[in-house]
Amino acid sequence: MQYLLGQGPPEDSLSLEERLVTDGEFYNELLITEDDLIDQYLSGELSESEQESFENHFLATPERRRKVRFGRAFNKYVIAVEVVPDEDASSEDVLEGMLDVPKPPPKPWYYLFLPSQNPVLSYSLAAALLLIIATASWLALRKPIGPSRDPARILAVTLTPGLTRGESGGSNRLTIPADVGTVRLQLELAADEYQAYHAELLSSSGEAILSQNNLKSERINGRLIVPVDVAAGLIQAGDFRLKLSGINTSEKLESIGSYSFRSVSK
Amino acid sequence: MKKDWILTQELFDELLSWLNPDREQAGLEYEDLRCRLIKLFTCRRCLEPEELTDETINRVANKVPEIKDSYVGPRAPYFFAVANRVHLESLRPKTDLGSPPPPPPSENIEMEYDCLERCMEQQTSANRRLVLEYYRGEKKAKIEHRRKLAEQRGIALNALRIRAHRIRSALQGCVEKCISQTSG
Repeated sequence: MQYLLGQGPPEDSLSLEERLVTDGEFYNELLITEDDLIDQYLSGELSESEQESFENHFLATPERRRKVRFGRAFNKYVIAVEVVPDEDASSEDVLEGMLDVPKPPPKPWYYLFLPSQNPVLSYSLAAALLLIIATASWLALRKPIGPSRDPARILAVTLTPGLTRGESGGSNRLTIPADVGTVRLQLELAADEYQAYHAELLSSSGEAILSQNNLKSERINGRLIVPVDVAAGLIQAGDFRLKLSGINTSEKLESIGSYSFRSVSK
Repeated sequence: MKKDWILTQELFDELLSWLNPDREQAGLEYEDLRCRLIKLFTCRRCLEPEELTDETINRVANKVPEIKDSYVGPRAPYFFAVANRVHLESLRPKTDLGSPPPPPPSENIEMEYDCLERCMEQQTSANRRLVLEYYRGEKKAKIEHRRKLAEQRGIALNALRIRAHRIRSALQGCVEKCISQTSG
């Protein structure tokens, strides 16, 4: 942390920087420490001198300034959003999709309209509300629908591993029709050696756009693939790369391959 | 800084072969090295870390035909040595950041927040829950909370840290993309 704040001795800096380039684990550790440092700065946990170094030294590059802006929004979100306690965090598959839904209220919603003192008024109010909702829905449905994307419309594309730098896009080239809401990237596998997979979508500059964990392999038309669903809006024209890793029994990621593709405007 | 190192497809292929005979693995190593070099130049407060990284890679690629038969050992230290030279050269016309420091980033984060909400929806339920739980709490309570979280999930604390960081990075990438689309 002292290094990131520019407070360490210069001779230490050089050896840390060498490790940064030569040691992958150290590099990851540095990225995590940067996040922690940003969070400490934003929550006012740094001392006065650390805060000064943070603003004068650490924040000098545009990349880190972007990180702080993101950190500010992220911390606000984390504080604002309630998480339902997880009773069995290890069985994520079973609980997938329902754990972060707030607990249901103990009584039905129309209960508010049913005070025992005046049931006639309560039922009338409930009926009026239903009528308003139905009218609003009908009006909304009557509106002509523009070229907005429909998440249910899926474009499935099978990607083979490979590189694109210096190439013209090769066979991994895709055009997304305007009404497609989801792009299913089917990453072809040579062998199914893991129980689960992790995929990370990167832009051409190496910026992470999406990360998906706990993906399962499937067999489609005799081909072994790992499907990754991506909102079509995230894939603009340009080059992209998907890094696929297997999750081993120690919950560590092991690199499997990289799938490059070029998205072209229609 | 001298910038007449050109990277041809042939040199790039040779660079990859030098990194690893397996092309797929070489591609991964290349990308990892590129990210680490960008971070190195960022840590050294260079204004254009990507450009200096590309310059470093181009120079190494140009040297590969010369050194590939005699060079022994891991490749990353060689990149580091070349990066040091590139950095030194970049300092000559004073591209390193000096004073005065820029003001702290604006606190107006409305657009980031809106985008973050959208990006969160694109994450899996398990990922959302993990980051929300991991980054909750303050100071010492946070450390203890994370330790318990790892225990509860039956994974090492470090594995949990890495996983949370990856999701956070992906969210940041998604938010930046969303902002650039929104602001046109």
